Amino acid sequence: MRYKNSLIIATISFCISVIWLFAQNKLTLYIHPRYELFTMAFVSIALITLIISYLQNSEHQHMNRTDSFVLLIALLCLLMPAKTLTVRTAENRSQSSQVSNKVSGLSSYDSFNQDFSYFDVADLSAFLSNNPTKEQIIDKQVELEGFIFEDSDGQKFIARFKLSCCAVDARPLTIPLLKNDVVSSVIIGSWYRISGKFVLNEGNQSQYPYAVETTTVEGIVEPLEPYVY
Amino acid sequence: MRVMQNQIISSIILISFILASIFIQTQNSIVLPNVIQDTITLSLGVLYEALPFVILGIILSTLIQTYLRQSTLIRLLPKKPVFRRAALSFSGTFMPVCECGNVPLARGLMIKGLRPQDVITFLLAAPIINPVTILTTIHAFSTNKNVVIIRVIAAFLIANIIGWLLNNVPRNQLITDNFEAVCHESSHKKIQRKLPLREHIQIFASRFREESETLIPSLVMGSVIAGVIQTLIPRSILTSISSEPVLAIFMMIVLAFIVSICANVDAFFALSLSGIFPMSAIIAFLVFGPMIDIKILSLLRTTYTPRALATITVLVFMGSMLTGLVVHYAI
Repeated sequence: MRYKNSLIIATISFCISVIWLFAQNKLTLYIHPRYELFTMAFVSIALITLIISYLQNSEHQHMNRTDSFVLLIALLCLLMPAKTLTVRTAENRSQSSQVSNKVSGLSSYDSFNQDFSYFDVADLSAFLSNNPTKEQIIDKQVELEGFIFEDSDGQKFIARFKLSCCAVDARPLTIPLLKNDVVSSVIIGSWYRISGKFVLNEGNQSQYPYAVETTTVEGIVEPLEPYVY
Repeated sequence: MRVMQNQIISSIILISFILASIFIQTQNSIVLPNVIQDTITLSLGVLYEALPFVILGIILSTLIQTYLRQSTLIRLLPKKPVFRRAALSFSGTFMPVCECGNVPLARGLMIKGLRPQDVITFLLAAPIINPVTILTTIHAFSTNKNVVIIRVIAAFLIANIIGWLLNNVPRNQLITDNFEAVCHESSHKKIQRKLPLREHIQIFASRFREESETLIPSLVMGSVIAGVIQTLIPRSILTSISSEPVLAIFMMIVLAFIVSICANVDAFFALSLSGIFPMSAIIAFLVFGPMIDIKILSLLRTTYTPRALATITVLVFMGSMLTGLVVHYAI
């Protein structure tokens, strides 16, 4: 049987890339954590099996253009450092993920728990999607970590990507930020820890009636787990 | 001697790249434009998510090819085509591999004698009619039990009707010449039973490699195409016409094709869009996506002819549109 060494090298490279990412705790930049062990198990089986096959001396078949492209991709996977999705994807997908929250006299949310200090971007995004009343949200103190992005109307948000399966389904969960001098100093795409309180969003009430009035902003390094699940 | 030389050279190149990778990644100095970085991240997301499922499918396919007798397989299934296809529709219950893993499994079943038309029914139905997909759909749409019921019924009907429509299409119009040659060659291979374990492992490794060489390039190409399209096409274009029902259904089908998300979790993704799109469009997404997307088409191209795939895609599209329209106007 004649085989293509280029393709087996490529597949082995993909397996090594996955194992290397797992070792660096960076595989979750691409896939949901629930798939990590499953992925590692089968990639390891494939790696061992392919090495066994590779060591069986066989006749070599020359590669075509597709094989060359696949090999190139595989070797680039080894070389390229793992990175998260950028703010460009957040801008691309922000419209499809925005749940317009309305000022409401009634809310299905149980406001028994008044403390928002432990809420993160995901928790607050879910809370806002339940159409809270003014009494449930105004003046509530929050401290959030995320990256900053700005939509086409100039509204700034603090955001994190939520993953269901893999990077391809990531959508930004966003909390609007009130325009003030503190927020105007932030860099789009960078990560920050902000603290403030919820107020009525005077500039953009029709789409985002509530926003965080930021009092402090601190630049931070992108966390090891930048996504929420 | 020459084979060994090639292996040594290839191994040296690979080890060199691994060492270069360790060095470059510790420096973390490569900064690419956002559009290129996102294309890489999205493409790798599709690839790394699908890879273990494809490997699992190849393992099952290799085991079927090596150890399952054709007579056993034929005996397990009903004789009449309509009942045989119906039975294959539910076989995803026993082999919940995910749609990309189903492709190598389907190849193994065809190599063992199943008809391409019957296997198409399996490929279309199995990703939806399996316990994992059903449970995640129920969980995501817990307030609307009709979603999972409609999804399963629509998948069963579409898969079986397409299998029935293709029933009398000649085999050589459905599968590629390369795959026909693989089927022909395999039919002459006898099942190895009384061999030492070492030889079993070598045979398994050899067949595993053969299937990998066919499927992995297609998976990579499909992942890259999916990543590029998702980076270049803003999602706002697809969501901007969500208010008109027929266009909304069409756009969600297009989104399902582009986003290439695994059927096991697509319900959660669809749920996130339920505030923007009507339920009819959401259901069309949930029906079309697991059957046809960029990644699956790329994998199926290893086995089925382009004309067969185009026909199946159009039929699935029509079935999904019809499902959406029925939900919108009748339910």
